[in-house]
Amino acid sequence: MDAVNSLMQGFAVLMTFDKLTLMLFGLSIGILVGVLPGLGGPNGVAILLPLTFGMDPTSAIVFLSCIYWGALFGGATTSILFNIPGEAWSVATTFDGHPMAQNGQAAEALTAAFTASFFGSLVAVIMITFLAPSIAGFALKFGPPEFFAVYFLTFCTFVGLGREEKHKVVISLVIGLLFAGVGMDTVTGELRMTFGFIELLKGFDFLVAVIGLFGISEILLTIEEKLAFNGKEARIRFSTVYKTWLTLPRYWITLVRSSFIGCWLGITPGGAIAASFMSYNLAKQFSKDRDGFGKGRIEGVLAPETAAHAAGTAALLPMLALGIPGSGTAAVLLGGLLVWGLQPGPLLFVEQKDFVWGLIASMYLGNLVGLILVLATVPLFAAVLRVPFTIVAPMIIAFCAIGAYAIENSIFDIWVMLGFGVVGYVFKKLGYPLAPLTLALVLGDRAEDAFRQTMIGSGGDVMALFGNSLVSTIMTFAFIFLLWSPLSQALGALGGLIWPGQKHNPAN
Amino acid sequence: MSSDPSDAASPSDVLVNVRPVEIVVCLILLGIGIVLAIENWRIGVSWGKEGPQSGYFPFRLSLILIAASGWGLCSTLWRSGSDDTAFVQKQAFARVLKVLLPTVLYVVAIYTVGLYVASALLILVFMTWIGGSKILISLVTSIGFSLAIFLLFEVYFKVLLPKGPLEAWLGF
Repeated sequence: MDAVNSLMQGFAVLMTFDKLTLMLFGLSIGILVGVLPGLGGPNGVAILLPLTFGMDPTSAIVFLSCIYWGALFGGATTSILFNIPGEAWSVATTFDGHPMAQNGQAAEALTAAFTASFFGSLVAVIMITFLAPSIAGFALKFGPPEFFAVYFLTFCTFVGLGREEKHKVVISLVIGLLFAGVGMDTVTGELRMTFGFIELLKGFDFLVAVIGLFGISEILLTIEEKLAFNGKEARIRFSTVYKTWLTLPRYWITLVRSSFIGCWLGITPGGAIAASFMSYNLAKQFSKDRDGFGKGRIEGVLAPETAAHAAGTAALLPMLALGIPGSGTAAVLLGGLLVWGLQPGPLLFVEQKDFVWGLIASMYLGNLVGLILVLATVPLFAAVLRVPFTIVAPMIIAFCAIGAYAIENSIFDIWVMLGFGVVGYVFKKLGYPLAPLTLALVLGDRAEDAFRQTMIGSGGDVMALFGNSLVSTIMTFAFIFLLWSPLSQALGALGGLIWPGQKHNPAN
Repeated sequence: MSSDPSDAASPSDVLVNVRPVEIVVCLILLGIGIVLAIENWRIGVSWGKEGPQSGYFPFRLSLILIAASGWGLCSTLWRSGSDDTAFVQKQAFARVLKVLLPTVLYVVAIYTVGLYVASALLILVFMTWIGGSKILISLVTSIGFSLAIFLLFEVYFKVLLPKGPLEAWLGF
C-alpha cells in the first residue's frame, strides 16, 4: 500500500501549527468568497494568490486549496438561501434547495448540501489518492506528441461537452490561445503580436485575465441585475443536523451514483457543470416521486451537490498527474505552481513528494474541517449578504486591483484586468463560455511548445500525432469529443440524459 | 441568471438588443482575426531553419478565429431578428456605467495617491453617491477598510502595493 504510506507522510507534513492555522484561515476566507456575489472559486483564489508569495509551496497550496473547498461550501449557501448560484454548477442546487428554504427547511437543505458535498469530495479524494500516482507514473512515458494530444483532447472536450453554441466555445478557446502567444516567443526570441507596445512584451498574465473575466465582470452583471438579496433566515441547530444525517443513509444510491458521475465528469475539463445537471436529472428519473422535484425534495439538493463537489475535487487529478487543470480554479492553482517555481506535470509525484501528498492530505482534512466550520458559521456568513452591495462591490474591486497589481507589480495590469472585465461582461451576456479562455491562456504556451517539439522531431510531418498507438488513441478520443454533439444526437435518448437543461425549467 | 418578472421592460426601455451586439462582437473578432493573421504572416508562418517559425502556430489559430467568428456572423444574420431579446435595458446600463466609470477613475487615482487612499475614495464614492449612505458611516467604513488592507498586505504579508504622498508623509 504505497499510496497509504505516502498519504500518512502527507498528514505528517500537514500537522504543524502554522499549516493548520493557514487551513482554518483559508477555509473561512473561502466560505466568504463563495458567499459573496462577484467572488467565486477562480478569481477568489487568483486575488489571494499574492498572499502566498512569501510562503513555502506546500503551505501556499494548502492555503489556496482550502480557499477552494471553502468556496465550494459557500456556493451552496447562496444557492439555497438566496436562490443565487455562486458557480454555474450550483445552478441545479437552487432547483430544490431554494424551495426547501421557502418551506422553512433551510437548515435541513443546508445540512444535506454540506454533507453531500463532503461525501462527494471524499469519494473523489480517495480516487485521487489511489489513481493519481499511477496515472502520473504512466504519464512519465509521455513525449511531446502525447502531451500535445492530451492538450488537444482537453480543448476538444470543451467544444464537445460545452452547452454553449459550438462556434462560441471555439472562439473563446482560440482567443485564449492567441493571448497566450502574445509577447516574446521563447523559442526564436522574436516579438509576436505586440504591435510595438512595450507593455505587451511579457504577454498577458493569465491570473490578471482571470481576475478581470470572473471578478470585475461579475460585479458589473450583479449591479446590472440589481439583485435584491431576499435571503431566508438560517440557523442550524445540532438536533436538525443530527436528524437530517439520520435520513441520509436512505439516499445512499443517489449519493453513490452522483459521486461517480462527479468523479468521471470532473476529470474531463468543464465537466462539473454537466455532472451536477446530469446527476440531478438521474436522481429525478429514478425517483418514485418525480413531480416532487423542483418543489423541495432533499434528493434534489443531495444529487447536484455531491456531483459538483466530487467533480470540483476530481478536477485536481489531471492537474496533479498531468499538469492539465480540470476547472477554472484548478487552472489558477496551476498558475500558482508556476509562480512558486514548481513545474506541473507527472514529475511532481517524483520530485515534490511532500508537496503533492501534503496537498492530498489537506483535501481530506480540509473538507472535514470545512464541513464542521460551515455548519457552525452559516448564520454569520449569510448575514454578510445583507450588507448592502454598494459597500461590498468597491471592496471587491479594490481586492481585484490588488490581486492584479501584485502579480507583476504593474499598474498596467490593473488596466488589463479592467479590459478583461468588460470583455467578460459582454461575453457572459452573449453566452460565450469563459472557462475555455482561461484554460487556453494557461495551457497555450505549453501546448504550442509540445506542438513545435513534435513537429521538429518529425521534421514537419503532422502525422507524428498518430505515430504510435498511445498518441493515436488520445487523438482519436479528442476527435470523438470534438464531434460529440452530433454523435450524441445520434444516440438520442442518452443525449437527453446529459443535456436536459433546455428541457428542464425550475419554474415548471 | 435570474429574471424578475416585474423587471420585464417595454421595448422603449431597451438600450440595445442581443442581435446587433452579437453582430458587432463577431465583426470585432473577425477584425482581430484578420489583423493577427496578417501580423503573423509578417513574422513568418512557414518552416524555418530550426523548425516552425514564430508565426506558425498563431497564424493557424487566427484562421480558426476568422472561420468561427465568420460562422457566428453568418448564422446571426441568417436568423430572423423578430424574436430578438434585450441585451441591456437603459436603466440597467446606467447602473453599470455608474460602477464602471468610478472604477476607471480609481485606477487613474492609484498612479497619484496610491492604492490605499484610492480604495478609500472609491468606497466613499460608492457608498454616498450610489448607495446613499450617511457620510460619517461611509468615512469610517472606507478608512477602516484601507487601514485593514494596509495592515494585511504591507505589514503582515509583506506584499508591497503602490503608495502615494500620504504614506510617504507617514513614513512608509
